[in-house]
Amino acid sequence: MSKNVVVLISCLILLFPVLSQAVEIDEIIHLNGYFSFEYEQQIGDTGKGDKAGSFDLDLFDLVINVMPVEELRLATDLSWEHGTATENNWGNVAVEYAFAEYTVFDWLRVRAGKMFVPFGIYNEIHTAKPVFISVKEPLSTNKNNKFGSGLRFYPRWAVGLEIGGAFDVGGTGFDYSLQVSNGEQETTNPFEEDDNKQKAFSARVRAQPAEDLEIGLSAYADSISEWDVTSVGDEYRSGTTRLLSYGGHLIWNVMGLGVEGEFVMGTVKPSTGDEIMRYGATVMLSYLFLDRYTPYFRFEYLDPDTNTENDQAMMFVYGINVRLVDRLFIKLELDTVAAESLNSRFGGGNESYTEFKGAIVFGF
Amino acid sequence: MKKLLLASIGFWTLLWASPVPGQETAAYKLIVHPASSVSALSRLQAKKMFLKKETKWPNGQKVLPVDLKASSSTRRVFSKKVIGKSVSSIKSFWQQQIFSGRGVPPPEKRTEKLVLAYVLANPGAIGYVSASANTGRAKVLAVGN
Repeated sequence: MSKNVVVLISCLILLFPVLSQAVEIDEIIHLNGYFSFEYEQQIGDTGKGDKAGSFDLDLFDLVINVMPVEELRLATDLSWEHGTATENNWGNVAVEYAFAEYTVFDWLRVRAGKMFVPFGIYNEIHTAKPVFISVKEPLSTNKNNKFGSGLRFYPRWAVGLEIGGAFDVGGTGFDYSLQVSNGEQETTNPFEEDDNKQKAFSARVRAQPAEDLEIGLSAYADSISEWDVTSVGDEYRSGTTRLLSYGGHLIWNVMGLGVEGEFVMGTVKPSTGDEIMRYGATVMLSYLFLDRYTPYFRFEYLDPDTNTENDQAMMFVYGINVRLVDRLFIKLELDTVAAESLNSRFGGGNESYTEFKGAIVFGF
Repeated sequence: MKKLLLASIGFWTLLWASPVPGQETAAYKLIVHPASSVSALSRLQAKKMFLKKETKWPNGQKVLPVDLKASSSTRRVFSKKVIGKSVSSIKSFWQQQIFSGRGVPPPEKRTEKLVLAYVLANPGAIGYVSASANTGRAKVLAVGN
């Protein structure tokens, strides 16, 4: 053990002058991260919000990029959520992503590891609060399982391979991502073992026809073993549910005015029973002035099953984002939920309520 | 009392956060390695290079952009004039790239001397310094529209 340590330290000492002559260490290792502290309180006594009012050490993330050579990048995002204390089983520690990426050409890079699923606007931004305006990412298109859907439109993470890149066609910039992964599982760790032979596929293409305009299309297809099986004792029988989701998004920023819209729809088809068709949409308007203040309004809508009446949910978000100093933001907003009685998340009485949310976020 | 406290917190937050008028009259020089065969770039080309959207020089060499630190007045002018955004917007762009796992920003140097040294040491490098800076052996590029 001690011999190994001595060898390692000797190697580093010998290597250091060589590295420091060639490139500075901050050109090889990039350390970044973010921090988010939040407060939530429901206004009024009826509803399904946080009635007590709670402080939340929402996130502390470390993002590390190592680039031993220009073409090769190792990237990871390590996340500690809700003031993690494993002794008490509180909070969560997670590898949000960890992958190796090799760039062959600008239009062809290959990734392997755990990655965010490339879909729409928010899944790759994920929980990085310093880089989006509102306190939370939209539920209707990004976390629809928390807005009344039984199953998400697409998983947030995946382990597998991805190819992607960027290129220009006639002055319009494009980028694309194609990912093959284990997909979502319930009985096995999806980042270690696939419980069915069919892989999940996701694809996204984005175009920038103008400097401040982005248009994107995304799709996700998966086959999930566990969704509809009937358990006999502790045994699971075979049977798969086909999950297909697709959508489009648009981001437009001009003279401080920001418009962001996303639409996702798709089907969930169990091996027996009816196919479920569902869709979600979100539209956000914002206005940045004095390079610091951004008032915003967002509307969200989800229909978890078009064949079921009275299960839809809507959310209206009114807020302001203030950049206090470089990369330090304060966000204040009111979220009004208006859901129908059969919505699985908010239904069953007191479906509509308003919640105050505040956050202090910092990125470095 | 509560209202007064809230109003007071709001007032001081706004006051603390209000922008200080910047001196943005300084110009800049775009510099590359002396061996570079390029003598001019369009504003769009320079913008793409600093956002790492154009990564190769015409001879196939890798473009290595280098920035000045965020508080530099030269960077403020360069960002507005060439990239068309404030430094904080560009920082936000790079944070989005980093956190989404898409890439890392160009290295940031604390002084113009360090930018110059980086450009002279790396054949594919491109940087900027203030108009009054001594650029030594570095080649100054013209920036067109």
